[in-house]
Amino acid sequence: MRALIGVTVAALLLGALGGCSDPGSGGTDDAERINQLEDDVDAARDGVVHEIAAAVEAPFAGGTRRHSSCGESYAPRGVRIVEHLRFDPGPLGVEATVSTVAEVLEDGGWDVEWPANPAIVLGRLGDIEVRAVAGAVLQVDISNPDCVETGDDSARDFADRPSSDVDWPAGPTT
Amino acid sequence: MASVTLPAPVAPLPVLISRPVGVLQLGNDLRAALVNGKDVQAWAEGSSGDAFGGQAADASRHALTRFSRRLDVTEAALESAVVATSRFEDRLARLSSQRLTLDGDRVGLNTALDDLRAEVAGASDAEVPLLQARADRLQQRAARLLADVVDWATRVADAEADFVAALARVDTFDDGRRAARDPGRAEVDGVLGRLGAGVADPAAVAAWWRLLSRAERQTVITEHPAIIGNLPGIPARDRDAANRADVGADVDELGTRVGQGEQLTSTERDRLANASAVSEILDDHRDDLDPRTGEHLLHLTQYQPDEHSGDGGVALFLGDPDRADHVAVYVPGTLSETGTLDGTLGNIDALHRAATDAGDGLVAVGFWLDYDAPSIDGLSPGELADLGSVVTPTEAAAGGDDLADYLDGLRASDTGPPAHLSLIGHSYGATTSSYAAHGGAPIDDLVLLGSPGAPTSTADALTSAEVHVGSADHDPVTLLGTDGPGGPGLPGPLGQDPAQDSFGGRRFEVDPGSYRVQDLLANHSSYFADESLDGVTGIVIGNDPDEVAGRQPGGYQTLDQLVLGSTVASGGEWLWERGNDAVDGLTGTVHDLAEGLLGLPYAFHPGR
Repeated sequence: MRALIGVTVAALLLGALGGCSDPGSGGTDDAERINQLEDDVDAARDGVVHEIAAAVEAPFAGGTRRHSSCGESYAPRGVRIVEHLRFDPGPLGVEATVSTVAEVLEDGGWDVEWPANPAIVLGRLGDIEVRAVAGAVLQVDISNPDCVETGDDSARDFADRPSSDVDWPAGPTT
Repeated sequence: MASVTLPAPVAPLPVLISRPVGVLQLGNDLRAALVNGKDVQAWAEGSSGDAFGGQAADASRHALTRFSRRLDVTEAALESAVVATSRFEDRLARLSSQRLTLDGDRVGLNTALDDLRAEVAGASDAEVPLLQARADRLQQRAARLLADVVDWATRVADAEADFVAALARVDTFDDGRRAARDPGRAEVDGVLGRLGAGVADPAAVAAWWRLLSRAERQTVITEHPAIIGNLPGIPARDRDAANRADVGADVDELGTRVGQGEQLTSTERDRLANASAVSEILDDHRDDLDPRTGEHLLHLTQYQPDEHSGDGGVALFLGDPDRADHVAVYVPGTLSETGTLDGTLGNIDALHRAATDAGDGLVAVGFWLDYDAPSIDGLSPGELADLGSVVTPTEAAAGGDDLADYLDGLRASDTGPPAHLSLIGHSYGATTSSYAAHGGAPIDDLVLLGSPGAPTSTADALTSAEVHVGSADHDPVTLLGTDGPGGPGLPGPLGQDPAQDSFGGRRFEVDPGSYRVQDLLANHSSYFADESLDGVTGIVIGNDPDEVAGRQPGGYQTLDQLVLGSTVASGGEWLWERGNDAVDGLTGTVHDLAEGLLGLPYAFHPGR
């Protein structure tokens, strides 16, 4: 009994420390899931977020895409993207900005959620969430709050990708 | 239609051309350059020319002294620029915040005007006097608002003009020479002397700092960034400024030397790796701004790149803990170090978003990793010993003391009403947090997630703070504290399982996790999602989650039952593959880890 537990724990540790991937997933499936996630984030930015920026008349000021795993280094579980976009303030106040963002999201078929904070509105479509925070600047995050599960190797490789600046071509691109 | 004279809608306020975040970045770059300059000056002043003899030594000393004086002139100019930048940044942050308020007033006024216009359109002549009176009041509001906007715009112009003038005053070498000879130039030794023995008392540090002038603060920051950046009691914004300068100086200096083909020492290599990792985090978050002020959201409140056998020490916040209503400090556990913060950053980001969305006041969520969390970067004896420390509370106890000091510092630099302060520990970090709480850390709530053990047998004995416990039934680490060497139900090597009913903590609901052996470690890293995240968020903003029953003797699966049961349930396939890998390549290491250094089978049921 003790030997079996010892081997099990050792195997768990080796899996964690050695970066072995879960044999049940990985390879092509992971690549497809990650590609889909990236496509979905791109589509949200190039579509509804461009429409939001136009509707609230807020000029793009900068943005970063961050890649991360979902768990800890020994159990990364899957992948997550957070694309953070920052805009200079437009002519609308906080309240009008948030309600305008919500209208654009709803018109685009997104499920809109109003958290208790009146300066924030959330939109959800499939795995993707758009979170807009209005204030001295307007900030919009595009992310997948629920982990997209992959093998551990794929998740570690993904998390090792450097962050990248966001391209923002003028006007809606879809 | 009734005729009422309405005021014109108020036009949008002008956008701030100078952005706080841009000025902040300029200040950081200037401070980093200044730190490097002071390092070079210290080298020049310390070089005696002893490597030479006779006239060569004299000439060398003379040249270095002259070089040092010229550097001092440059530094004096940079110091003035840093002070001007700091002042400009503060003014812009205030102006940005004021713009937000004025814009809110403007939108409210225009909305009221729209409403009145609609009423006028459907009103009778008899209603005109009343409507005109309302229009007149709106006119007065508009006039006051426009005056405030003009005043605000004037202050923006003044701030910009003052900044330009301040930089122009140190534009040339002669200007720098004047700045260096300025009798009002802050003198570091004198400033530090005023603190004296108070350096060990965060409250005294905070009081000392409040009494310093802006120039004195900036001079101390750039002269001793490593001290100010890590000194409990210094406000988070100033610690951030000092640490960013230190990080920038490390990356510049060591990176340049590597670029020139120089071989760094082992310590320098660790320092560069840690500085680069932190620099990357800062860069990744450069666009994350405080929605109220437009300043950086991230504050780097600890930067100790040489500590903990090269793992480095680091702490940061999303939000400003000195101004927040709710402050949470997260302490990660085993395998956490400066270079592996991906999961930790994701956790605090998720918690910060959730707590901010709740809208119950300003929130700052950070992590603290300035203790020697058990970790491993290879299979050298030193690294194995580092990982082996996971089965003893030694590092947790030592880290707990430092963590308590850090929390004392947050209390001391807090402004306004005392913030609601939560300490959240995960895994070995939960044990470390328990030690900090037991040592008197000034917290309101202690949250233990996936805890392998706490140093006392009850929550009341641990701390006067409220103790909350998140413990997944299928997380093997949380079961380490249930069946220790003394037998079932007794403490494990790291202490008592706080999820036990007898412990008396408030256990909240978390997902039990998958019952497949290959997912057990993933269960241990899943506390910042779903209902567990909801529970932690509620605690952070002062809304305690519903309590669930604690573990009762005989009412839960022990660690060996979980491991064996989940192995059988998942068909043994995964274990078989892992077992083959282990046998093929690392049998000896496996035995060392499991049987020797980690002693984990002993932790389950010794003697079986």
